[in-house]
Amino acid sequence: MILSVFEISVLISKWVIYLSVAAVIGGTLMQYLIKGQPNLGISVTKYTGLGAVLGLIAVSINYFAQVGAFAENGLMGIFDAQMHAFLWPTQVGQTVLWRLIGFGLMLVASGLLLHKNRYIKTFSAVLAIISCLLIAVTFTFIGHSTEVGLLAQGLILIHVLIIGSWIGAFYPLWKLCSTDENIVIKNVMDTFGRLGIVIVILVLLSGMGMVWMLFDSPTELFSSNYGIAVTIKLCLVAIILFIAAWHKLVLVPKLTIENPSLAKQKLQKSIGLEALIAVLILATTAVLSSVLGPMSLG
Amino acid sequence: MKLFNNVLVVTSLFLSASAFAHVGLGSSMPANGAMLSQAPTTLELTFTAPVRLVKLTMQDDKQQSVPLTLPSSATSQAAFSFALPALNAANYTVNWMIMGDDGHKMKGNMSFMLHDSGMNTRSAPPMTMEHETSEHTAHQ
Repeated sequence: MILSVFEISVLISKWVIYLSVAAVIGGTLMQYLIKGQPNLGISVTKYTGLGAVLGLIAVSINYFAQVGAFAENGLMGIFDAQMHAFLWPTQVGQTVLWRLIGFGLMLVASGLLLHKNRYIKTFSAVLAIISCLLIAVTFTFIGHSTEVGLLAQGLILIHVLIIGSWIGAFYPLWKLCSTDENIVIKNVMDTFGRLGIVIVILVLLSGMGMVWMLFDSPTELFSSNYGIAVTIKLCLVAIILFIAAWHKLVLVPKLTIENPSLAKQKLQKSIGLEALIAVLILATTAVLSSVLGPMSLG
Repeated sequence: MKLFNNVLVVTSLFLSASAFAHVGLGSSMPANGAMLSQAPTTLELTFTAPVRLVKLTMQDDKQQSVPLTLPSSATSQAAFSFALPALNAANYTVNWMIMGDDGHKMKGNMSFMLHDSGMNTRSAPPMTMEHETSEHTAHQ
């Protein structure tokens, strides 16, 4: 299989969409966990703002690349009026529309969050939550889960919200490790660690639930390309879970015991590695959800 | 190193040539590879799940197109039926492109042969009987 320019564009833009969704959802969650840290708050606001801008760009590129892929008329195919008229009223167009609204709202929310007025700040927080929900809901409009049924769509909604909260929190947590107050780092990491248990349970339940529904037999995990890609994703998830446990049980307790600055450095490095694996997980997911398909839908 | 290997395996998936399982053509009338002595009056395509038909062409072996009217794409459906004009004896290939409810693009083809009823014994050129779903592009 050789992928066309459009298919590669769709794949890469989808990956960027996933990263943006994570930044937006995880950043919004972290705003609450780092309350009382104004400097860090500004960094996280810029992070969600950047996520929103990247999201707007990636969603647009993704849509035009899809139009081009359907039009099969060379590069000018992205402007094919007939194909735009065909795709826009479908779930493809609806997804694009609601994602643009979602990322747009997040951009506004990020701007308002920098405002000093307390009421405007509260308004922006509400706007950010609405934006996260809107973006997460769009994942139920489209994709393999739509072919399976309502339960799968519910699972994907939970999966996106939870994965976004987790993966998107890595940058703010990494940034947090640059602050001088080890006790603050420990408190935030402890809270995140407690949330982490719920996150891990929900991620695994929703993920395994979807695997259960999309696969007819466990052997497909090794015999089909889709299955192999899912297996790779599961291996990466296992690694990231191991790192998360390492943080919770070893590195975070060390923050206030022995040589705190060394412990902080180690934690920061480890969060960086965790983020790198998360980026790979999202890349695998982009491949899974686009160029490959489960046997059960065949 | 493990990371590198994982990246390598993911990359190799891009180049993999094996078939994908996605919504595709379940059955058709005439059937794929059918050899008919009577001209069909309708073409029926049934997909494995509801789809929107994006493109559909039907050509004989001289690249002459048979006109077909595509239904509206407002809703997706699994079965499609098209009235056919009077067909001459020839090999016909039907190329389809669909969008599944998951937003994925799939395309493929099916073919059938119409014998000249008085010349059933003539040796026809070998025809391809593949039913392939050759492409599938991304949704979001």
